[in-house]
Amino acid sequence: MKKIKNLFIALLPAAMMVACKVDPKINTPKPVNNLVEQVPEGWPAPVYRFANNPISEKTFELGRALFYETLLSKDNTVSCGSCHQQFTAFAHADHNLSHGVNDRLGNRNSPGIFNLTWHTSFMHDGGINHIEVQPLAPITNPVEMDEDISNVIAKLQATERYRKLFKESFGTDEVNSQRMFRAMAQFMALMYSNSSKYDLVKKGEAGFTESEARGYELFKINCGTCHTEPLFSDFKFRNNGIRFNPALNDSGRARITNLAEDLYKFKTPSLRNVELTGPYMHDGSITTLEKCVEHYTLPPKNTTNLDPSLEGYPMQLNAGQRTDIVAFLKTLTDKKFINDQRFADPNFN
Amino acid sequence: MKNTVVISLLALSAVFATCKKEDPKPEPETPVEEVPAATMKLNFEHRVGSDLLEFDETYVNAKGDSFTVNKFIYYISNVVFHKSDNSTYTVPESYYLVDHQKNDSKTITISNIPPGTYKGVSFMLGVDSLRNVSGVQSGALAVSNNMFWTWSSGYIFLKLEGSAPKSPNGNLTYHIGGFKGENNALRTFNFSFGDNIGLNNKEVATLLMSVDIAEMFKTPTVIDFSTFSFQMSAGPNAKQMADNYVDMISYKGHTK
Repeated sequence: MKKIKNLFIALLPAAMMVACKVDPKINTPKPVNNLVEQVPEGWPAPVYRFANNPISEKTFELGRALFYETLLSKDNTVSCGSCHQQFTAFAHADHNLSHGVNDRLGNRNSPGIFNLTWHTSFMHDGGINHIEVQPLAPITNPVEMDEDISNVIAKLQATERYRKLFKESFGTDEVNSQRMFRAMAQFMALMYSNSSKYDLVKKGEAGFTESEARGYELFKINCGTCHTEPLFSDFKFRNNGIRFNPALNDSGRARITNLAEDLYKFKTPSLRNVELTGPYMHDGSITTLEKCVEHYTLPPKNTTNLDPSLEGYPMQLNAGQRTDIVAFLKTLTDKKFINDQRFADPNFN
Repeated sequence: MKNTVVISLLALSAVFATCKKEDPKPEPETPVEEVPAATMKLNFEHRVGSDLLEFDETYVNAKGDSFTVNKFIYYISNVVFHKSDNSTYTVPESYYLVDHQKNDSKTITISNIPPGTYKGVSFMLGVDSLRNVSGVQSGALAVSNNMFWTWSSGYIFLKLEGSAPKSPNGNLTYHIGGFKGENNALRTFNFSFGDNIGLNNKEVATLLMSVDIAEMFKTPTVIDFSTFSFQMSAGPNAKQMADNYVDMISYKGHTK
């Protein structure tokens, strides 16, 4: 008898769990196909912590579907994935400026998307303060997706696929802006790129070639102050001397802060996957990595609020040294990331 | 044997007890203890000077220029009721969108107020800085209400749109907001009821608030539509408008 009693008590916690499991509203975070909020070793603490947005496979999959959903645009032709393509680390191949509905051209280059969990602000001017509200900008921008959020919600609500996905993720089939943008944030925030050759070298699992090694040493001295490891950006705003294009008339960070001291400053981009994300700079005005490195050896073309580290001819680099730096930059390419099926367009899988 | 049955029953009830929180059906034997609560309604009446606001009617601003209004929406948030003993009741999650076009929105109903004697109310026009930086919100704060700047994150605290012959393009577009630094446009309004309002359990009092749009164009800065008719971002001009509308709302009394 005692045995049975003990057995019952031993089984009690299990019984409690089973009893609770039937509750449909259960909302405990669980790993998504190995997508756990796990900070790579040696990396700083992330900014976005999924507060009120517990990681779940269903929510991640909903976010993924929305990322590739053309219903988010006014004429149902453009999705986030249109200008953020996985094979270029979610930048836009061969486009110097973003390309919206009705062939409208934006005035900025579409940046790569990865490691957003560490970003303190979004967009080249840092105007967006939180990853969950970031997609609002391209969706509503007339030269990008040109759509109204209420219309997007109505379109999704009218689609059986989304009613099902929202129900699986949130318990009911109601589509609302909070659910939509939390799901998208979950998908984007879990796009970690930390499997480049550089990362393997850091872990002692690979070695640089001689050129890459020389390039790394030069990089640390010449580039590493702003493109700080391990994320390869400090996410601050600077004028790096790029020519001012009057046709675009882009004031940069000053558009957000209204401060003259922020005129022509743009957010320092991460250099991870930089081999894939060209054309380069906020206006897509530089086509190759070689020319990007060369840019910093030439006199700056716009000196208003020029970053103090770039006065004059900032970098004394000969052709061989520039080649070495480019060789190092190419070790930041993360092939595992750009081939990761979890981030691929679900409509083609 | 008996013991085991008792333990089993206890264990079983423990199993249910752990899940009780998420059980949608309340247990019939344990009636919910009723907490005494009263209700306050805030009724917002929109005016332009001595006239009630009507969309597309012509009014005259302090400078003597005519204008019309066809959109008037604003946030009321962080409502606090002040008791006669100087204690306060802060209404949790109090965010409301008042839209002249939606009659229901002009009466904010706040239930679950502890009965007592109240001497005043305070609230913000706008949205506190924390909710401006905390990602997507729901209800009145949902971004789908189109009261959130999509290109420079932050809530639009107040929208007034209309027309004015003096405006360079004929339109008035004032989208006012900003939660940072010297251009913070968040304004807190404090009202004393004069006479205390005693509220017993289940009683309802309605506070009559008057919102005068003419005040937006009057003090301390007289607005000239020919030079300031358009504002769609935070900044010094938005702050100037907030400083103008800080005396826009007044308390006119209450009904019970």
